[in-house]
Amino acid sequence: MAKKDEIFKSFMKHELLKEKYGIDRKNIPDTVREAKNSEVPIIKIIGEIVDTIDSNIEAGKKTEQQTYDLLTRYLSTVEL
Amino acid sequence: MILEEVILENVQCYYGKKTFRFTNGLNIVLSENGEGKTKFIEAFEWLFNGEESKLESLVSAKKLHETNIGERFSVSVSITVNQHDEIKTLKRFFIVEKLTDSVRVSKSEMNGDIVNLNGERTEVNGNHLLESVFPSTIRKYSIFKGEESLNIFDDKETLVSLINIYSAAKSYEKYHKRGEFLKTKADDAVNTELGRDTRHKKELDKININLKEFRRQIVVQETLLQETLETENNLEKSIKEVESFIHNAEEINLINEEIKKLNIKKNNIFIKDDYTTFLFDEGWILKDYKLILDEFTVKIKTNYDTKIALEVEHNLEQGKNKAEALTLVNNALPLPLTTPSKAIMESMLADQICKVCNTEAKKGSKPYNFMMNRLEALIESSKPSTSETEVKLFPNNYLRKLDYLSEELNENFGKLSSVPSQIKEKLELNESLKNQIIQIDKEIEEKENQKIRIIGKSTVGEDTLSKNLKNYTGWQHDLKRINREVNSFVQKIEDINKDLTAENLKKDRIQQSGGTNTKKLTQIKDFFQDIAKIFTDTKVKMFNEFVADLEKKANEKFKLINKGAFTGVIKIYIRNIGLRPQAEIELLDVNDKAFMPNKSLETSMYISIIMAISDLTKETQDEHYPMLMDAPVSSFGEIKKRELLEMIYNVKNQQTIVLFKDYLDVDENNKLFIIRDFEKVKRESAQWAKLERPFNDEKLETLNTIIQII
Repeated sequence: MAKKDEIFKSFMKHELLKEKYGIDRKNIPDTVREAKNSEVPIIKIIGEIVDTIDSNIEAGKKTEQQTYDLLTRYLSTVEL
Repeated sequence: MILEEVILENVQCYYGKKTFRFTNGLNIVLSENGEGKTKFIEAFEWLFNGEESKLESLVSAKKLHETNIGERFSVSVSITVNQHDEIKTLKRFFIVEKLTDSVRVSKSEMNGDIVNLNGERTEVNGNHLLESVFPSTIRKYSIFKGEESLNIFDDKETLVSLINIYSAAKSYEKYHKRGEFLKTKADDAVNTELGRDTRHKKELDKININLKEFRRQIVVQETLLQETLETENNLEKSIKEVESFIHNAEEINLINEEIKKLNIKKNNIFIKDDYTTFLFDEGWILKDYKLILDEFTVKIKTNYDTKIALEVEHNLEQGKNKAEALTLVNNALPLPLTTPSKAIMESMLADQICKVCNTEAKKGSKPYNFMMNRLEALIESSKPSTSETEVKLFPNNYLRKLDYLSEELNENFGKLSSVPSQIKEKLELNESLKNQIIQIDKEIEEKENQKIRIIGKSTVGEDTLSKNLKNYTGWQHDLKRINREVNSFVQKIEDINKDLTAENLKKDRIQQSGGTNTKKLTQIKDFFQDIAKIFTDTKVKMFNEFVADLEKKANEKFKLINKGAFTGVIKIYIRNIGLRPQAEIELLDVNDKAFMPNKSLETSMYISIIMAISDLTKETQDEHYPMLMDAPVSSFGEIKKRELLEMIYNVKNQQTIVLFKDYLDVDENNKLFIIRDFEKVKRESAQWAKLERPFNDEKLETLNTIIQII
């Protein structure tokens, strides 16, 4: 398992995902790639952040501001 | 990274070029006192720190002696390492010129070069290469000079630094920072949106100024706390240093152990004297409420009786049969219609028993009819009035509601009736706990005085002590003052944090009251807040998991070194005080009580932790670094020493270089030899650094250390 997938999975163990967002453990994806395509905002956003920080390719990494712009654009279009 | 070669050129007793060769795993360098062991480590340290003031002292006396006036030669230390399949060489050197009565030395320089897999050589900046090959943060935890230097964990922040370097928590630091950034940006966006609304702008500006000020105060207090903690650490070290000089160190150790136990006992006493919380949240404020409630109850009862009497009279005047039928003997006041309830009345009628007075009420009997009439009157009273002419004396049922309230309050009072005794018990308990703390403080003070008396009587190491002894008593007092200051800073930080939280709540409330845009931005902010929490909590979790793993592995190694002996269990405590967490290591016995280990047990404990960190590093990082230990086990017996070496040998993929004089002896001709037991020591490589014979130990220019591969 790639390092970024391990990091992503470790975030997915946080109790807030179940308690506040009602996410069932079995619906949590295994990889960052799958997470980025998720329809669940919190999973997608965490997947995106992991990819902007620990992307396998240098071009995939983003600055803090770029990450913020990318995520808020998406979040303003979905129901939270 | 594997250290493959170390070349010393004209460095102290290493005349000419002398090469040590190392491999992965356990490498042993044997060397008798004064024959080059410590000089090797010092040369190594010079390569790293490049200290200019020491240059002349590094020059080989033999080389200098053989050099003619006006001639020059080079003094250098170089290392060759294999890192990620590249061969990297670092060389620090300076030039010595022999003058008539002195020497002239140039400034030292550092060269670096890298040879890649294709054999291409590139010259690079030596200092930059050094930092990439062997980062300074790692170096200080890789080289240990003597048994005492293993006590790196006396510094409470060292272990935390090590954990931060080696554990997976390091990878999460950037997530923590990114989470905080996103949260702050989202918060700013909400504020900007709210700021467009003049209604909120003024209040919001004020809150933001307060928040900024509280955050500034926290930084100030945390900086002061950090400085105080450093002073505390230094004081503790100084006190320990003086104590280590003392002849009767055993006695001091015993007292220290008792003081430690007393401190643990003291720290386990928790005084919960947050009376404000008790007063409001626990309802203590209502302790004198009974009198008011009694007065209220009497008033309601009196008024209610009056109301019933008036109602009966009114109903009679209105000619109501039902009311007449409900008239009680002796013109007593009837119970309210709702007492007993409709359900109870129906149940009594069905069973034909008055369950209030336990009397039979057969169908058609007077009691049965009375109950039936009451039930009908109750049903009637709950129906909306159909007659326009019917006049109700009390159209609203306010008094009834007050009566219910009175009943409810009286019921609840049961819970409050124990408050006065709770207050009494709490005050007594706190008083007794405070007295216990005072008593423990007195005992600790007495123990400290005992220590001062012992130190005062010590005759050994008087010269060394004379300067420090004067300060010892002062340090003890300073330490107490510093402890109080630490507590005060911690308290202040807590208080400011409470203010900060309250101010944030105000801000949240304003944000919630904004328009559609603000609401959406607030949702995004809350979302990022959750993400920041997930990132931070996970980082802390990884840190704690590393500590737990470290503790487990260190204990496994500790048992291996001390096979069959009583060791106790290594316990690592992480405490968050101020900006940085601190770690404390203790040995616990079977009853989980801390005890002071003897020297060899303490050393084996430190080595176990260092080796455990090394083990865990390989699990969490791609890189590992060599460890150099000079005479780490001088307090160890033969068996324990061999077990330690075996344990180090068994740590896979860890390069360790151990230098010591053990396994060397002299024969009847005063000739050094390696004792047979060394054959049993498992190792990857062994070298013997020894002085070329003959030499004159009064003439440095005769000294030349040679390296023999064993």
